[in-house]
Amino acid sequence: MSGLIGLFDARPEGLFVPGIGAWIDPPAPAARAVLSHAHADHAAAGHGEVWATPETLAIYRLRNPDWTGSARALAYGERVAGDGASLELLPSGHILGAAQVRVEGPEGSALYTGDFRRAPSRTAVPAAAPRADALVTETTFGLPVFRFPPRREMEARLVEWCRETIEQGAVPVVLAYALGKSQEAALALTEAGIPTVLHGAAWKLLPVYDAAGFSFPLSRPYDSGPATPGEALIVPPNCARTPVVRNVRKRRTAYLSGWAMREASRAENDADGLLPFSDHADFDELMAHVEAVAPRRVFTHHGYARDFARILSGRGIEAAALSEGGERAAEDA
Amino acid sequence: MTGTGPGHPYRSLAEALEGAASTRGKLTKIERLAAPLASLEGSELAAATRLLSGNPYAEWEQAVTSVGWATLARAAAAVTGWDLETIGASARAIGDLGEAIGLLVPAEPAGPPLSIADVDAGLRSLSGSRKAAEKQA
Repeated sequence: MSGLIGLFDARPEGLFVPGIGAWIDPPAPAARAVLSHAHADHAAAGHGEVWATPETLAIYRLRNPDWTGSARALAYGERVAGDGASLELLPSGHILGAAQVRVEGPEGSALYTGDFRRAPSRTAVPAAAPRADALVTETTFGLPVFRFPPRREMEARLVEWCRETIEQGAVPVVLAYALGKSQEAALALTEAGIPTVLHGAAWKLLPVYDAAGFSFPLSRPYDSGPATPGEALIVPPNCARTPVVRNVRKRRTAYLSGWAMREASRAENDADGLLPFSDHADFDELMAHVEAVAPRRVFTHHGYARDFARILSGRGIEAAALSEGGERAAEDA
Repeated sequence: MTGTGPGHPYRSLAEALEGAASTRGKLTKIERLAAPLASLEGSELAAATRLLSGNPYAEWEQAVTSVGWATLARAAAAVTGWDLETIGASARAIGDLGEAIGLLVPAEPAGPPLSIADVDAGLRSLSGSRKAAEKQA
């Protein structure tokens, strides 16, 4: 679907804000990009100029060390005036530094959620829900089968599972994405007194978390040596069948993701345990966000875009899908 | 279908199957499947064994449920309140219609729990029914 969504121009190349002259989360290098957060599926390499929160910029630089573009750091709520429109970043609750993008002009307002989550987490500022005339929302988990247990309950299950595994003389291996869930899991386990060994992809981001006030006193990098009895190993899911995990002779593996709602993810990730632990809004949170923002029109993208738009339409809310959807969109889910 | 009262709960078989699925060890799988059978006897034991094997009927019966995806999806729509398109999309997302239905229905269903005998009787009534509407109900 192309055309104007209030102040956003949905083009085949992505979402453009004409009044600001910037693309939002463009998948290809752009002259000016506003990044909602630093996950790779939203923060492509090679932009000329990047606008984002300070934390997102810091992570972007760590993940793109060869990047030579210019950066503009925007604090939450800091307004930037353009040609007939203003833009501000607001918390999205997804990961450290993640933001929603709100644009306002004489014709109204529009809110782009990026990836978001309404319930509190340890490291992300909870999502804001400002009123907007048009809402562009992610729908990674836009089906009613995706209703997650409360985060605190999942953390308690993670801690219990690790303790049981350690008591059995095995190493708990936690499969969690390097940016976001790895740090959330490490903090939960630290609070429970369980030391962690972090994969390098997660470890190298800790300075950004440290600068934001989060400390990991019981964590060490995998480079310093493999996990020893009593420690939990936290690695990205794509390490499940690599020597990093396979060389842990006595282990039990848990998969942390919203996709852990699917029993099939057990075999897909060679996991013993499944914990639906996500940095995304589940179905109920997606619906609640639509209700809170109260837009006149909703546009859905990522994940189950068509299905969620259809469900909204069935409830009398004007909605349409920007993307085909229907697939598992985000690796970081 | 709701429970009728006495008899060992079908839930014990469902939990045994989930427990077996969640472990890698063959001996542990055997233990988990055997556990609910240990307290059963007679026709209830026979029914439970068949249900755990995945075939609700004895081989000599040569019976089938003749319940296909469409009938099951319509029954799920009636129970969950979701439309067929959402049921189908959910099944594809989860990778299994049964698992998707389990995620869509309320955690604690109304009425007394189903016993093994209830489930056995229900499946037998399906094989004896020819009409899709009867099967769906």
